[in-house]
Amino acid sequence: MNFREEYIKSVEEITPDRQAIDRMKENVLNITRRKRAFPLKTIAAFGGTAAACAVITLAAVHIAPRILKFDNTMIEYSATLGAPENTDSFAGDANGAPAADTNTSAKDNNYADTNEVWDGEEAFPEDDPNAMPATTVIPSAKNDSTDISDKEYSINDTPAVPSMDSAFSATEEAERFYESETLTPENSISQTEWDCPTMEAPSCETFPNEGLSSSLIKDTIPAGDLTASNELPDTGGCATFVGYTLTIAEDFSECTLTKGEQIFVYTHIEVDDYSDLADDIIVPYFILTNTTDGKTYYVALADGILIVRDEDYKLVELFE
Amino acid sequence: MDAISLKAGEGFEQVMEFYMPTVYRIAFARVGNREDAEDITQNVFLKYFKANCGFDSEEHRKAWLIRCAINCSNTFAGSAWFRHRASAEGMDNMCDETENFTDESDRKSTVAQAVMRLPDKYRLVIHLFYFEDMSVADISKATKIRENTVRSQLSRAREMLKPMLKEVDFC
Repeated sequence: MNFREEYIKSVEEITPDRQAIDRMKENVLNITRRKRAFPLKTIAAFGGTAAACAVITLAAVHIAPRILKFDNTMIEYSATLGAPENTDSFAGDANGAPAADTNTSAKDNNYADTNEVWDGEEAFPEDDPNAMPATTVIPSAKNDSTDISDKEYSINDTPAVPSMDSAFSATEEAERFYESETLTPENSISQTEWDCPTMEAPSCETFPNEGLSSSLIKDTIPAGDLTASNELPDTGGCATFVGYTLTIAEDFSECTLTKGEQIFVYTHIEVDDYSDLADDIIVPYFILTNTTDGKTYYVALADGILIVRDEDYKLVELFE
Repeated sequence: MDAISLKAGEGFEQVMEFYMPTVYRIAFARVGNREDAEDITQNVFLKYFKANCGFDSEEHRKAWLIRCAINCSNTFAGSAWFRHRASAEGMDNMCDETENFTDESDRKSTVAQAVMRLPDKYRLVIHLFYFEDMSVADISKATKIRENTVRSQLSRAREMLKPMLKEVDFC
């Protein structure tokens, strides 16, 4: 007896019959034909993950530059302002009284009770507008650019303005004295550029022309319109800073015009509140240039408001 | 039989029709009862469907199915449920299968009974060697047993069958 043959025969008896085979096939096919459930959870998981990653990426892309810009802006701003104790000033040899303002309120705020007479060549004339200095010097702009806070500005000497009978007194605040910087003669505009005694505005080429024109200036500065006692020339007139030291605090909280013992203090007012007013005032601006960094600032005094514009003629600060 | 496509996902029903007896016998040789063998067979072809792989040749597919059947049988036989209930039922099923046979049937049943009395690991190699006509190397690959081990198991299986099958010639 051959084991292989016998074993094969015996195993064939165990072979499943047709019914068993069909039954097994049907069971397997039924399972394989079942539709797979829609993988909603899987799709939701992947989709949610992808959405979260996209949101995080977009947020990082948008926020990171702003944060960096904010940091840089704050650093620049703080550097510009500096400590309140550190002040920057503009100084010049004023050719006449840098009339603070014509407003009574401003005078009350900025001037002490004591009267100081403004004499000589640096005073406004009482009645005769022609007694005003022959010229008013507007410093020329330099192209050097440095921060205002560390530099000195100066204005050339100009012919004296007529004196005024009224005296200006310093306020209590004026007791604070800030270190001043003076303009150098090199920065000054020549006297021929602005002929103050005639109360005629200089040619428009001497001013930043944006918003200004010589005709408008002439119209707003009528000849003979001199201030009376204790009053300042309207619309900026011939007010110059010649002989005066203009000091502006680093934080622009106030500025001071100082000449000898005469100190006039102007306090900061919100630019937004008076920007329209500043824009409407047609005045000649004094161009003050930082001798160190060469930055140019345009300063004017009108309607009791000291207007400071940067070299782009953008309104920087207002003081009253 | 017409050639069955070797590509993945093709000719699944034909594969089942042709290889189901082979897989069934291997499962039966391992577990010893029809019901469990049917379950294992169905699991093997479900795995084949899910694997969805292509084959280089028909021999490659056969070897894959045999190896899968052996693995599924071992997994099933190793379960605690099977180990605690199969020892008596397996023999009872064999007795039911063979009790109505004639003399020739008696002889065949004797051979079948003798093989069923062998330990599981010997039963499998005996079936693969004598029925499936696989070489020792093929058996080694399918069962993941070294060839020397396969030879040893075959030798021992014969030694155990000789007293039970005195007139049998093992060749």
